[in-house]
Amino acid sequence: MQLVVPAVLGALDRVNAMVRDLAVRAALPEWDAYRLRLVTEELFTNIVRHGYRVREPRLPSIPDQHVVIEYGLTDDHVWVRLIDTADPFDPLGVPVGATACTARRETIGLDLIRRAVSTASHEYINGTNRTTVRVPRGLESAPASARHLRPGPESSRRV
Amino acid sequence: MAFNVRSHTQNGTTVLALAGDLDATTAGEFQDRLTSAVRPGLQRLVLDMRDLAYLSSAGLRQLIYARQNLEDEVRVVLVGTNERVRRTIELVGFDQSVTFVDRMPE
Repeated sequence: MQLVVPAVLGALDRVNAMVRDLAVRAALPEWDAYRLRLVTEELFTNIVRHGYRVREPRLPSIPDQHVVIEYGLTDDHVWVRLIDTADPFDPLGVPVGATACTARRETIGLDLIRRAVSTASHEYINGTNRTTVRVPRGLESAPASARHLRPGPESSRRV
Repeated sequence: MAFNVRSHTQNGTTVLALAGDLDATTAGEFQDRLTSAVRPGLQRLVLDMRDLAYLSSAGLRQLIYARQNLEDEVRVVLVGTNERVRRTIELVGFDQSVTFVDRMPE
């Protein structure tokens, strides 16, 4: 399944609606649906604000600047993949702060991505960033808190 | 869900009551209200989150920024956070910088 939206913050409602529908179809527990929304929003807004450098929610989209969101579910997990044509950037490659006191405010969203989901990956292929997150179905897994940090997920990157 | 914020200040305490979804599209409004609330003489910042359904990193970023700009002795109190919002705050360790309570303080 695929959703294509203009690279503007105003498209976030459509992205959220897609995530909500996917979570319902997958019968995700409440927290899993919530964290899927958290990471999808963070990845989308990161692409819009930093990849395409659009800062105003209501600015008209620039032609050819859009975000492709592929998504689906298997017996085991739900997955969402965001694809953009901005400069190569691996959102999983930024060092994670140990706590909010040491984390830079600018990277708190990226910290959140890696702490909220246990499986995520990034690739740069044929001029596109492709970041994929997966949330398991059927059990509500406990994500790492800042006090009980686990190593972040593997980040694959082909630049 | 639409986002809404109301505020009032009394005796050195500013209360911001948040409702709805605080995400990337609504964080700017929250930032404006938060900036107005952070004034000299503030002793306590109370965030009433009983009706806050969703908190994204955009809202969290504003909270962290506000905490970093307050004097150390100013308490930041979060009231009635739902479990999902609280877990989001805990994910980045910000729970160590604020106080959670179930009911509005006196």
